[in-house]
Amino acid sequence: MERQEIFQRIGTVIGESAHEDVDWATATEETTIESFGFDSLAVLDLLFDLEGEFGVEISAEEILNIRTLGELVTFLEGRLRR
Amino acid sequence: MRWVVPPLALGLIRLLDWSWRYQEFHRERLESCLSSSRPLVAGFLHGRTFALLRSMSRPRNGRWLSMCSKSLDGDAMARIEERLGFEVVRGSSGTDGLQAIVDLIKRVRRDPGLGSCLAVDGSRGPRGRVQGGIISLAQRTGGVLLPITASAKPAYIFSRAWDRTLLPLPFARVTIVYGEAMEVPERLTSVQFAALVTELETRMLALQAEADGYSGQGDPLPVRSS
Repeated sequence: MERQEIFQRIGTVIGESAHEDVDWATATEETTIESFGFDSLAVLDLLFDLEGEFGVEISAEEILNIRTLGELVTFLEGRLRR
Repeated sequence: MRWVVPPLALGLIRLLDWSWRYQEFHRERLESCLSSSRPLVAGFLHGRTFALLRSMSRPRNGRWLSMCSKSLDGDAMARIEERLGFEVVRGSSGTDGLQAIVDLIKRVRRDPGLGSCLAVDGSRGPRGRVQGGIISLAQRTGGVLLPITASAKPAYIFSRAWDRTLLPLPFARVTIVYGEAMEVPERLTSVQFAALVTELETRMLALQAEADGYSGQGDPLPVRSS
């Protein structure tokens, strides 16, 4: 899966998972996940929704260690290659 | 010690349980939840664990998944709960706690007949203050949250423990009270999430007061939200 496609699908997931309105049009790979309002519990929604969207397993530690959208894309690229 | 304490503690719990007389209030609320196909999340106050443990381990009261902290105390508690028939996931606060919630959710999804039970005030409190993890758990496992509590008389209260653990004494009357089930939608805004936390806290404190009223057990420091 191409990096850009992963990025766009992440946008769809974040739009559904976030507890607040999301402005994806301005998001870049440097945008932090925290900027979408994901605190330590709300990130659970993101974890499960990403697992559902990409068909991968993600641990709590892994999702908490990912800071930016770029890091998330890289992580999912690696997970999808397995 | 870690190999000796759990069997001794388990023996003590079973012996005490043999002597206790139980009375239940609003049991139909539990039975209504158990008879539905939706997985159930039971919430209780950490300090009332001992009074609830044996009762909840009985087959007629469902099959339960619980969480114990990754500490020496948690090791002992996990062994005791496993011997009583609970399935135990380890974790408490921080990343460990979050992973434990994830593990609970995934385990319940694999076996929807398994309920999960969690202390609403966590493993460290403050006493009576609802932590959000139980709401997240209910969100992702079917959306039904049942507050449960217990009281007993006579009982010893560990006043120095953060949760003021209540241990029913031999031949105590143990009172179990089931609250009204709460629906927890899968999707919540942060405002809705916070409102549910507050609602659960209010219900738990009222339920505890009700249970203490039935049992006649007053705590010099009753549970109140700080």
